[in-house]
Amino acid sequence: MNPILRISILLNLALAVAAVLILRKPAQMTASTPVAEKIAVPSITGTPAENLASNPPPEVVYTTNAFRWQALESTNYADFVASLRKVGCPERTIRDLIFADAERRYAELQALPGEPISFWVAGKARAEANRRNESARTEAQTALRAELRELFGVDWSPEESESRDLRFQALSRLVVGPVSDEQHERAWRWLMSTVELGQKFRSDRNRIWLTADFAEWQKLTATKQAQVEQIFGPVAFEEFQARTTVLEEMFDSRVMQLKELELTPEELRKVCLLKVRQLGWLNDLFDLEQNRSEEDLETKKAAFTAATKDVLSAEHFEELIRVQDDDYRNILDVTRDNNLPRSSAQKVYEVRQLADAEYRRLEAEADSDEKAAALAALQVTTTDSVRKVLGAEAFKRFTSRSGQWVTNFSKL
Amino acid sequence: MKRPGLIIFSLGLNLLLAGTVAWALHRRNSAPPANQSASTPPARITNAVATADSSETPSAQTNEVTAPFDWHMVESTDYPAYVENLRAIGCPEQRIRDIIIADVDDLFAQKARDYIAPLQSQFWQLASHPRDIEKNIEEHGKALKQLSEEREQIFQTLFNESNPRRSWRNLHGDRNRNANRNSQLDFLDETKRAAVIAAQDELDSTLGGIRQMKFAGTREEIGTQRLAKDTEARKTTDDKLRALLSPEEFAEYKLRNSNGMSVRYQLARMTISETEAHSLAQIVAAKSAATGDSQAKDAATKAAKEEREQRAQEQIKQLLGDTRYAEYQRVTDGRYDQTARITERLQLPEPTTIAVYETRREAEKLAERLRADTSASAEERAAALNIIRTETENSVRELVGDAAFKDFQRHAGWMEALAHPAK
Repeated sequence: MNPILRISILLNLALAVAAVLILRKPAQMTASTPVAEKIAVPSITGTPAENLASNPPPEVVYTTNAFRWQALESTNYADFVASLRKVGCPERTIRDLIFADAERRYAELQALPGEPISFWVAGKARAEANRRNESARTEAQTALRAELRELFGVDWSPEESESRDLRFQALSRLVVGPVSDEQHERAWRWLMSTVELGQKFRSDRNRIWLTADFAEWQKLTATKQAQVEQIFGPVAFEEFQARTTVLEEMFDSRVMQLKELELTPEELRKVCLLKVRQLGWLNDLFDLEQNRSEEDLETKKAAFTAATKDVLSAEHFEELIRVQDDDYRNILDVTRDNNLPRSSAQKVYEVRQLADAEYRRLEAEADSDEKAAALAALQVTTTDSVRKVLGAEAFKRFTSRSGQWVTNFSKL
Repeated sequence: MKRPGLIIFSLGLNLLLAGTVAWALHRRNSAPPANQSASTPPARITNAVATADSSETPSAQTNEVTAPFDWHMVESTDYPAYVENLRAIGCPEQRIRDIIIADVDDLFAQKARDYIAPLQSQFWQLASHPRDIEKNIEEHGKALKQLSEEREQIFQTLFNESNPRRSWRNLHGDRNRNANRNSQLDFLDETKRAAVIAAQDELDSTLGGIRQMKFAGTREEIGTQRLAKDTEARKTTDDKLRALLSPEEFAEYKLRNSNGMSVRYQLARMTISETEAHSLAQIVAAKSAATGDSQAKDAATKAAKEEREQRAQEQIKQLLGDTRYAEYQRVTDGRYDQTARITERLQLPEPTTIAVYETRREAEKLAERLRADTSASAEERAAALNIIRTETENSVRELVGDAAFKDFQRHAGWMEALAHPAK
């Protein structure tokens, strides 16, 4: 064999072996360390035994890449929040998580047994032990709320999951008006915190208000009102005041008898704002009537009613005055039930007022045959007038219910 | 010709193999460590180091570089996937619920907002027709109810319950109830306590069943039949407990479940020992048991009731002695409590409270006598009642002091009421 050829063949063999050895080694390592296996490594840090033999350098530390929730968890909210923020958990989710946990924590604090009280401990001893437990409970709950305020900058309420009710959501959207989601949330948080503030204020004072309390409460409510004005800005705040006033009147008619009126949308809004200016805003929520005497209230109401003349049409103003009278509202009920126009109620009311005035004038006179005849004639005229306006059927119903005065003036 | 061809082929192969070896050597020297190259995370599967921030792991000591865990790896718009991803990283079930419930709630809050948005501009239009509001509420209420049901369906699919918030509340409620029951049964050993609780649960369930039962007859007849079933169920439970407990234990059990136990709360302004409270509860419970549920208002029933009340008062007097019995009478009078609430806020001492209370009692007694006095004319009675009011107000002013009187008066309508011609 040619020596060149022999050397060449030997070199080929040597090069082939070398190439196989070089190429094989890295290919085997890649295959042994697939991603899935690495994720499954159970220990956080460690040096696997099989690598110690073949790959002994002591400076190499294996770190698992399997993320576990436990790495985030903490009973300390600040730490938990920090961990969640570090892994990019959205702020809204962080808050949802912490608030849901806080609701449970708050309930647990509420149920804390506190200092044990034997079953038959009674009298002052029980009352005082209960007070101590209640005070410890409240302190812990207040601290929890303060922590949440510190973390998220909002007033958390243990009742807030109740606001998830969709009817509440829809109604509150409607009342708060066309504002942003953030303003809407701040508004109902404000409402809840204001309600709670009032409850706490009253409960701390055992519901006994002293002179100094009124001044203090006035200061607190002024701050609260300023807060909500800040949330909305002046225009949206005015709208919020007007809308909440409509609801207040609708659910608890005190001043306007709104349900009985048919004002134009513009008039209604104006009259609500007028009420806010003259009688205050959300009287129940802010306990504004606590320190007002009956006389004071009546004077203010009368002034408000008189002022509505400037914002209502003459016709609507007269109607607002009429609906303040129970008798007119009774007549209105009957005409409404019998599908009669509002003008029928107005006519019957006018008849009633005329009859009432005439009846009282006649009653003041000395008894005589003329007086008796005049009264009888008045009764007949009144009955006829009312029957004519209402029609036979409605007249029958009316006179059997609130309209007995029509046939019997002693019921006037 | 064959040999030179072979030599050329072999030399060519030499060159090719030499090139291959050189390339392999170069590749080996320049390639990153094998495990490092495998560090790319699979989509959505977490692969971060255990610490939230991978930069905290010293790079010199680590043989792999991992992308840090990011919330986006688990978050998904597909709720079942979101739940699975959270489970995969070991998120506790309660936390998963918290996250998903809030997310679903937000989603539906948006839907409610979108639903109501067109009505926003019509607010004043709607409000100016208040009579139509009920109709509107009904119409929109239906649509919102449908949305709520959709939400419940999602919860049902994800958590197998339509209102997952309820589960922890129920659990919490049960825990509180059990804590109260354990306290009420703390005189029993653990075995007996467990048996009593089981019997109570069984009774609750039976009573619940009776409430659902349908009976025939008039309203009164139905009431009687239901009461009979109810009494029978309670008697069965009592028989069971009587067999389980000693006579003393059973008596204590019954006492702790009677209205006598309320004496523990009713005497908050009096110092009373546990033994006295126990005896007092026995007296109250015995009196109630004798009266039963009778609502009869005939003279005989009334007289019997009065007699039992008198007997109970005698027993209480005997238990507490004359002085403390007077105190007992005072603290169980609502008028004393009313007075004490005001004086406590005014930070007045207890003797003042007692003095004001006594003044009120005397004044009211006197006013009552005057109102019943038919020998005087209405005007004379009114004048006398006015004098009582004025004198009482003066006495109270002296007791509470000028500074506190205005505040006291605001909460003590009884002073003004003294002058009323009829009670």
